[in-house]
Amino acid sequence: MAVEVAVVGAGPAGLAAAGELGAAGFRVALIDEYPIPGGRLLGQRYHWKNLVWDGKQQAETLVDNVRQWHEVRWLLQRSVYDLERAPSGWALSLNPGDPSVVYAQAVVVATGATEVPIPLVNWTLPGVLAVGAAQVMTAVYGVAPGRRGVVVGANPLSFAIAEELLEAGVKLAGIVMAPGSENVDVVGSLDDQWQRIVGLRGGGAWPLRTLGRYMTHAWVRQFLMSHAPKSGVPIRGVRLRPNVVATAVEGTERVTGIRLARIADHDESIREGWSEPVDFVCVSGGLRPVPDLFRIARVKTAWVPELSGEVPVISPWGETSQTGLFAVGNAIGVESALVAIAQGHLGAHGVTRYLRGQSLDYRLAEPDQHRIQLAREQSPIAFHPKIGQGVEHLRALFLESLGAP
Amino acid sequence: MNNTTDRPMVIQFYCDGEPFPGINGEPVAMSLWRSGVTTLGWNEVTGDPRGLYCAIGHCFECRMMIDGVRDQRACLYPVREGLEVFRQTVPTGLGEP
Repeated sequence: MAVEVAVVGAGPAGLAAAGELGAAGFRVALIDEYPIPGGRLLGQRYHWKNLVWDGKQQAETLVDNVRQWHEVRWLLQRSVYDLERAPSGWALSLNPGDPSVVYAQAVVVATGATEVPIPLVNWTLPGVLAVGAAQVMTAVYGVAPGRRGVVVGANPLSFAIAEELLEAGVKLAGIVMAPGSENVDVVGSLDDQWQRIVGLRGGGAWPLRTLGRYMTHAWVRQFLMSHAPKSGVPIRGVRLRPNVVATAVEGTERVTGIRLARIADHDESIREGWSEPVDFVCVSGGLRPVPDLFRIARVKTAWVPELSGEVPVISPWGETSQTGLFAVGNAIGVESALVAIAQGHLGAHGVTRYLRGQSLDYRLAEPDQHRIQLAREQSPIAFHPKIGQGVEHLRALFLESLGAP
Repeated sequence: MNNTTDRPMVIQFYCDGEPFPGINGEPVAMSLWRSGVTTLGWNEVTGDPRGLYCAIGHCFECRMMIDGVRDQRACLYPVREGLEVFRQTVPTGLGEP
């Protein structure tokens, strides 16, 4: 199959890009390995400033917009496993085939993010789930992950999904901490985990907000967190248990319990251990951009902690270091769906200019960049308190690459 | 694209030859979980039970033989009337152990 643009990923960013490209009259292949378009929008349902963010509804709107353009071909249930230069632009290899190769003059990579696992003793037992899996089960398919579960790892994603699970009638023993580990960088020490909680921006009613100001001081934070009640403190209905760590999953055929321990306040050593009955365990080390296709295409990338991982160095039009290869959405930094949609629009405008031989002068991207910034400010969830710094860092890396021979 | 949510159609499919109900179009792993089947296969080396982990095709923990093809991701594969799925127990692509 030969098209003008291949969009990889039919989540918020990819759908937004495909809609704009369809409207511009291009022949587009929209590829996704999931059977239903929408990506992770499908499970999102959050309360936000007295409103409800209904991801499923947002996805339907984006999908309907793409459907009106008959030049957009849907290639669902297909994975892109290779991306190579071809005389006309790029060749994408698909599995399963039909078609086995898509030739495209330009490519938009919108492959999103992936969940970072937290290793725990016995974590291969059925019933141990990535927190996002529990969201997909509950919100998309109406399948309860269990009767009573526990969430290991505190971050914006696990808080949001824990809230969703409670609303769906699933009971939770709360959000407990991952065992402190200097070797697993996403986890770090217990105090690293606490610092990240204090830095969270949750939509509207973050009860730690007032206390949080004082908790930037290490000793205040460590005193309050380590002296929290064993049963935890309620945060938007979810019990956060900051001084309780998960040490092992229990069960033989499937999860039957979780081994927990309380830590001593002075040195984070384990003080007492006990078991609590649960029939599922969600582990959550946060989200990280998916770098696979960038690596395959030898795109220049950088590790930007504020954007949650390895991201391509892109121009303000979203073009990577490889000509004709654009990147949008969570693949270029973990942010909310609103930002991903705005990035999808920008990427599509960049591709349009590229295919029409128009200038990709980065000053011309200002209006679209402004819309992304607005979306960032309006977002219900900030996945990193210093996202702005990450974006600036990436921009500096791009400008630096212009100067490079 | 709403064919999975508009009018749920209950179908029957088979896991290891046993009949199970499912909703047409939902992933195999979801139908099985709803019926209480959480073990989708066994580790090729240790024989430990394995099941759904990420539910979006990233981790490959839910590999099953579906439609006669090994190592299909049960979290992505849509279920349909009469579909045959099998739980895997032996290594693939590694030759005879």
